[in-house]
Amino acid sequence: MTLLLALLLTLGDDPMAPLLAKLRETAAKSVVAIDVEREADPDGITGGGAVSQHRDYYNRPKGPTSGVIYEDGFVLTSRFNVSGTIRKNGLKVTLWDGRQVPGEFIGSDEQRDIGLVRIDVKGLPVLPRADASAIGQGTFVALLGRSPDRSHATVNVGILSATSRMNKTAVQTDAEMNYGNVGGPLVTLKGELVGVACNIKPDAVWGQSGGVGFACKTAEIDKLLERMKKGEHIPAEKRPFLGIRAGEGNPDVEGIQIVDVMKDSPAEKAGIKKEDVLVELAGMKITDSESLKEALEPRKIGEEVELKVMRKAKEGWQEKKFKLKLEGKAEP
Amino acid sequence: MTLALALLLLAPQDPVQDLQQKLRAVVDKVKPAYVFFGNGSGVCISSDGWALTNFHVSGDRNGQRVRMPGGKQYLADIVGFDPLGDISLCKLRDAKDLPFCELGDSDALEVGQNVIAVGNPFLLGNGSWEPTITFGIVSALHRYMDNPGYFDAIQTDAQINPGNSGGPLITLDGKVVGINGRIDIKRFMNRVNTGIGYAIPSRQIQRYMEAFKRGGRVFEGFIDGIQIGECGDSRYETTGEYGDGVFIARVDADTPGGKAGFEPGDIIFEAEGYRIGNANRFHGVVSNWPEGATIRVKVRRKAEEKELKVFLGDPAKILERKRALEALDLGFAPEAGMRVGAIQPGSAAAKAGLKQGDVLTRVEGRRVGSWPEFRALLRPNAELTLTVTRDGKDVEVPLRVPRPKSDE
Amino acid sequence: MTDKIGNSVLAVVILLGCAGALQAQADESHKRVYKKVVDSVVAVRALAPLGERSGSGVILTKDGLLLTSYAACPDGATNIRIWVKGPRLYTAEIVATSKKEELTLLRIKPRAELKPVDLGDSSSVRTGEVSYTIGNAANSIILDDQPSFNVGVVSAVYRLSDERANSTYTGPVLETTAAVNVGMEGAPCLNADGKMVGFVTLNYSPHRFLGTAIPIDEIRPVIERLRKGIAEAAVETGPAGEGWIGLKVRSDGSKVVVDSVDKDGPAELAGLGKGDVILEVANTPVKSAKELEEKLKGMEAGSIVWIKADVAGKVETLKVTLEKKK
Repeated sequence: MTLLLALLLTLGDDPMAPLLAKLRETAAKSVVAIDVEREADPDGITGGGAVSQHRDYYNRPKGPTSGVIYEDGFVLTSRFNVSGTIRKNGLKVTLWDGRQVPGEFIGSDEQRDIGLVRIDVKGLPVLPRADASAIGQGTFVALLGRSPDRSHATVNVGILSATSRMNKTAVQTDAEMNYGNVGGPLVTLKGELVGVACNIKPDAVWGQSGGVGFACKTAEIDKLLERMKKGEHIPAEKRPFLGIRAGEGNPDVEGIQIVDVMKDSPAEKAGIKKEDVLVELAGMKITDSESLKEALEPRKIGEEVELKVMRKAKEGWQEKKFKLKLEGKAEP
Repeated sequence: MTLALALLLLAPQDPVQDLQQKLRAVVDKVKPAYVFFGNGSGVCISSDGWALTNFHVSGDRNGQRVRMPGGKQYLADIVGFDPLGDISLCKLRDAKDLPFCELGDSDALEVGQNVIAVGNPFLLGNGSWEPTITFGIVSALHRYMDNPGYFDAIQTDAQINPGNSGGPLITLDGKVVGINGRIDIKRFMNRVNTGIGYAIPSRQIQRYMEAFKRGGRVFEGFIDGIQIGECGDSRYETTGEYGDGVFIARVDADTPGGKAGFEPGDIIFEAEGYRIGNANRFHGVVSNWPEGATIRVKVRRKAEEKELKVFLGDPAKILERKRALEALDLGFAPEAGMRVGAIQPGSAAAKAGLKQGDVLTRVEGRRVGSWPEFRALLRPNAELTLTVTRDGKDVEVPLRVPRPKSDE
Repeated sequence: MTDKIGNSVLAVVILLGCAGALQAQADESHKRVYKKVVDSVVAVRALAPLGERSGSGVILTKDGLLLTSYAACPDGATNIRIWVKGPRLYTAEIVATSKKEELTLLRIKPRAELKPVDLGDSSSVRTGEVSYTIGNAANSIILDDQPSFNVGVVSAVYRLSDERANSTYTGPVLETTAAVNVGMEGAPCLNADGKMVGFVTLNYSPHRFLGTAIPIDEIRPVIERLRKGIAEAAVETGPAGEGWIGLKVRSDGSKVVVDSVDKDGPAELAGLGKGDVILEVANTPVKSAKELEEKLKGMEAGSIVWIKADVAGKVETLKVTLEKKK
């Protein structure tokens, strides 16, 4: 009797534990670790000062990343995980039972940051798909990956933060996403696949494990799966960009408060500086990020546009004009 | 047998499912009340369009374009604001029957309690107009920071990032217990959340609400006329040890502190039911009220406890501000859109050279968007430079603010 | 007959109570763990050779033995201050340190009985189980008497091989998604029962950028050994508590040369031998036998002393654990 009571009382302490234990044991069998040896890795950030001191945050750190068995014989991961010039036989996939097999990077989509790897192993478990219409904001989800020594599954828990990001192709989650588990599956607590974790890269402003992560929806992956299997590497559409990071507004001046100017960006080349407030672009008044988007929409890559910023000087805010040549960048 | 039956009847429904349902329900309830405000967030707190955000998101400009989930646009006017406490109260124009979220009771929060944050980190919701939801717990309460002043902040590990500022922190019963506005980051890293976010508590906002609605800048309360030290501070010959509270080193007679009955040597250990253990908490509690409020403070004097009532703020400054508001006989009719109406001949407005039809934009270089804001900047007998738009051009006008009638 | 009915009624009433508790929100367990441990967590601040450090710690015994991070309070630290929930402020003394396990034992003289933390068992920790951290993040304890409490899950278990972020610990760690921030080195990582299963280190994997904690099973034997040494010293050698090093030295000019080491004594076990030259004790240079004696005087058995010596031509830093004289 007392034992029963004790049992009942302790059940309340960690109600999710049994569900996550199940994920760890069954769903984890569909999660793989991916190791890549590269000749050249263009993905990284160069910079002086604080950036160079903490290069391991801004560049691809050493260690395996994650992927998921999407279909028999095919592993899906993030494109970033397998980008760069891979050495011959340099891509290795470690399965849940410890077997390490060679993998072939055969197709990808740059816009959605997904990559397809073929392996010569059949019969591995594939996760059932989640019903996308039943997954709303606030649904508990788990992000699975492989540990740095590849020996076991890693489990991060969070909720679905948003259902429609990256031009409706991805969901957003606050389960911590990092270089180690990107490429792994985002699943419901029942182990159903919602999407594949993507968009953790050195130039992503949301960083690692910051509570903002994305997973490319299964429906989106399915649209491109055949093309990727056939060997297509689909490039992202480039859009004109300035290369600035916006802050949260300036109490004195209406416009976009610039908190950062990207190195080698069109903005930097034009002479825009951190702490400037962008007030006009190509003749259109800029009040917030929406108006900036509207102003850039009709512009073309390579076009020269005139910018007006307000810059703080001793005497007060001064208007400054700049000419800027728009360059192209794949979003986001 | 009865045991088995009882177990069957009372065995807990899946607690994870319970929480899941509760979470989905509160998200559906609060999401529509969220406001996409500039490069940050806001939340609608009444059906006729009162909304809250951080001052650092809104500034004090009127007519800002804001959106609610789904994309519907409104124009927002800043009514009352507190730059130090980082809160703005705004009114959405032409708003009727808006979805809204009530303010809850931040004093009822417990550390460990589930909360959700609604916001727009990294502006990811722009375009789809779907805000971001994050889920966590209350990590600590009554955190004090200055510059800007988060005097009594709720600390949470629900992830908050740039773009979340001004957005609501909500309990699972769907009430706003805080406005998110700051994060701490690991030294030297990107401005990305590492598990520490701060929100201004609803109780503090409620205490300032009346003043916000009156309009203009609202100032924090403080106890004028006492000099305090922290118990245990070795620089003073203090009574008590660290943690006992703050002690009063000096009292000036003709001040609110003096009139309240404080005496040197008193140890302040509680105010309005809040325990005060150190100087930070003392400032945090007192700043929870705007100037002009009266609060009850408990002191230990020798072996006794006494409760004193003290008026917060510098009465002279408060009076100055009040008079400037009341005695505003500048001699013109203030019209909508910051337009100057009919001018009385011989009045201060006439002497300054104001003309009917002028649109007022700045006072001493500061933008003003509403008449209450304008009034809040006036000081009796001061000479202020006003900027008006006249015939499409900016014109500067020197205004001498008259003294209140009682002074003449 | 009435007895049976009585029992059944009692059973139903009790079960109603339990069910009621379980139907309550899932955060009741979070609140419960917080209440259980909030009085057992402290903040630590000390003046270390390279500047002031802050961190967290836990209470191990009700009479004032505390565990903190070596990073917050290294060998040679002075002016050690402890904030206990209240707030109350104490000064502390170092009792023993272990740089390898990144821990320091401190002692304070509390005015009232303290609440020690419950040590758990990290071997039973499973990935996915609930995980809490509580400590002096962003100086929340020092500034506001508010331990920062965070919840997450144990996300992985692995080894860290490089030292980062002022951490000296490498070895197995529990990775947690519960927030870990600067100021939390030395804080406890707790399980669903509010028991300490990990000891937070600021070291991290750049690959994953999440909080890590040294499993309690790694450090429990060290704590036990150090405590045993202290307890025995307190009993055997009285208040002066001289720890024995098992070493005889002579001054040779301004050099301190080892004349002999006692067999199986602490110095020999640490690797010192005849002819070696003692250069530094606890980061301070020693130039005479008397200086060495002064430095070691008053150290209790169980204390760890870092001795830099020229051992057969090579400069090494050796860890010597003083014992009670046999």
